[in-house]
Amino acid sequence: MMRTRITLLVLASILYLAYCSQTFDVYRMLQYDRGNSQLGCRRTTLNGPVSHLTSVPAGKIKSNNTSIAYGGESLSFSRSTVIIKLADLLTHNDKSKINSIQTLVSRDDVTGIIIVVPDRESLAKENNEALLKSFSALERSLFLSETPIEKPVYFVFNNAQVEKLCDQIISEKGGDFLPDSHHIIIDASEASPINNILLTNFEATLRGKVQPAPAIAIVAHYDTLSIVPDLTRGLDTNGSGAVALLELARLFQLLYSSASSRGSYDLMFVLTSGGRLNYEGARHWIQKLPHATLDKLSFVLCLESLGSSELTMHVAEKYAEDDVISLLREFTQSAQHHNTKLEFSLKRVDVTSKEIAWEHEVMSRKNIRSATLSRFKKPVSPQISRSSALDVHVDVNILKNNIKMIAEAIANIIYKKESSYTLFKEGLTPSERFIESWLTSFGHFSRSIHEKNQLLITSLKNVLDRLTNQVNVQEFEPRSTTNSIKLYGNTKVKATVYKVKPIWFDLLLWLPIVGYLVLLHVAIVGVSQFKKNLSSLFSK
Amino acid sequence: MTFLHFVTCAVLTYAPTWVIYKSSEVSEGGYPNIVYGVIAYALTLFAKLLLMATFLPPETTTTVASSDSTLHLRINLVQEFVKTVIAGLDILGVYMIINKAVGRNVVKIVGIGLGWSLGENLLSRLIPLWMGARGLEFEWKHIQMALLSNINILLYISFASLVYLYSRKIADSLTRTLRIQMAFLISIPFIIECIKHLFGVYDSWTILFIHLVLVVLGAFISYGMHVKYSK
Repeated sequence: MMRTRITLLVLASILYLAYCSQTFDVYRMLQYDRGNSQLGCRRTTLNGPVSHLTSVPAGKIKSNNTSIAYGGESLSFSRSTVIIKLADLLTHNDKSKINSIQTLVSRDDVTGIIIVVPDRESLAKENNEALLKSFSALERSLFLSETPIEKPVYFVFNNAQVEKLCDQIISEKGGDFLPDSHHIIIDASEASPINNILLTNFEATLRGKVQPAPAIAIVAHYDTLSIVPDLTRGLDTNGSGAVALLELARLFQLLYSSASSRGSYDLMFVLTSGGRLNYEGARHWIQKLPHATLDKLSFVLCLESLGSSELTMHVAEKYAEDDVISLLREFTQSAQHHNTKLEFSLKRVDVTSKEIAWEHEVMSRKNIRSATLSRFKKPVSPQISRSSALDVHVDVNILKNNIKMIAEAIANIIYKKESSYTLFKEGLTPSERFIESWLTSFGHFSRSIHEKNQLLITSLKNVLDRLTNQVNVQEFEPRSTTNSIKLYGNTKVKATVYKVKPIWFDLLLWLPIVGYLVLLHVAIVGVSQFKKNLSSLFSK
Repeated sequence: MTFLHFVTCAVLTYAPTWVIYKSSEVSEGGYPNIVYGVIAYALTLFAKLLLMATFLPPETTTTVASSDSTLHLRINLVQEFVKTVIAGLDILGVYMIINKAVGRNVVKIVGIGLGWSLGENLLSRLIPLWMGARGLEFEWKHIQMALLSNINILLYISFASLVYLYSRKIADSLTRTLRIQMAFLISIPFIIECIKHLFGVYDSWTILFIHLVLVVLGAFISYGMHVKYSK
């Protein structure tokens, strides 16, 4: 007891020098291989000074190196890490903003980039459409770029701590005598590839009145990936589709639970994985589907990004037949009912293309009638860039309306128009609470492919199990093809920022110290003795 | 850069001791006094730690009380007072060696004072300095610690002179004033703690300055008494 106290006291006397440096989480830009080409951000470690980059209005570029003008000749970072706010990065130079990260990276005097992004709350609250739009353009350009980034690029959420740090770094540029400067250390090992990605599909079925019954499948991929894996929420891409699927399952489960209102179709609800890996999950599901089920599958509807009141139904060109058109007419009518703008887009399925444009094309290739409902008018290519790292907001009311529209259209198909409208008018409407709670939980954790989220898998399985009692869980590894994507780890690491003084601060400190020591000597021995001592120092 | 900063702080901490040693008569055969001072400081420190571990509650209990600020203040000041009483052991420590010291009065007093502060610098400052000043983060506290050690040299020399006078047992009236004076020097940390809490002065530079003023004041009084009575 006593001994421990003494040890504690001694320890306390030593440890009172706890550092007051700042540590926070930073999220690394995606590092990946496509086939044999190495892409994305290839570096992890940082150790060096930090500068802050702010926007300078055009024409106000000063020539001294304390003010930093972006892209101008006067820019000088003296081999430091650049910390920059996203808005500044995107508005710096309108002509070259798409390449601004690449422009910064290509500079010799920049050792790394830290981009401060607005936090999720302010992104969801404020109207940031212009920012989000230019950021996704930047993301796409990064994915399209064939040159790897050989410097570390990190993202960090803006919070009080980061804001204060930025202010401190800015103020160090002031005319202070002997200003503090800042030094950042990110001590992460070289990222290694993630080898055993395990994907999970969920297939839930509601049985029709008379067996065997024709089947309608609703398919949505629920996982996602973006340029910053650990920031990815993909609330619209494709959280909205997954939530819509769950809500549709809940609505039709209510209808199918009583024998009188049970439809003549089997309904299948399929949550697929690998939505950014060329729809690996959809491909696996259709491949593993028994022949009997495959034969009675009359229509597959894929849902992707439903957070808009302007939707497009993408159909493969070869299915522009009468029975498909009559099927799709139900959607047109239902859309009119709900004030949703619905367009149709016919596209030939390009079998030779390495990248699948839409999830329904996986089915189309197997000659199954299928369509994808999406807010995107055209497929976003490359597919991997479809989710933005800042996609964190979906309008619940729009999504609810879209779900209702889909539900009515499907009900029309199932019940052949008999009573569906009345059915859905009599209080059978999508539940805002259900939709909102799922969107909230999707906003809380990452559904990124790069790491398996057991909580997500369990909760998806549980909800489908509760709704349909018939859940089939498929676990599988993605095929490795010549063009397949390999992801790397170290997506979230710790950064520490230290306040440091320049080296000549200490050298300058020596002047008063030596002066003080000499004065001390003189004070003790007297001036005359000091002179004698001094001369004897040189006479030797 | 950071190692340079450590060197700077170390020089500021240790060089004045050496300069005073070399400049004064202590360098003419007074070095045993320094050794005595260091050893006595080490033994006294051990005894003080032992007592503190016995009488003071572990750190954790004080943080619990921090919810109530007045209670926290009271406990804090009580603790500081106990620490000050325990620090009274310093008198005993210096008293034990002041008569074993060699040389003239001045050599004894300055030698013991230097040894004592060297002991403090070695045992209580070297490790924090080594661990802290080499860190990447720049903090003024290492420079401040070095400056404090300089102030303390003066404090310990005047302290040694008081104990020396006390050990000579010149007159009863003198003994009483000596006791008050010694109590003042010992309670300087306590006084500073009180000023901190009562007036809300927390700026480290201000506190260092108050420390300097108090020590210089104590040193003047001690010097006056020394001049008056040591003959």
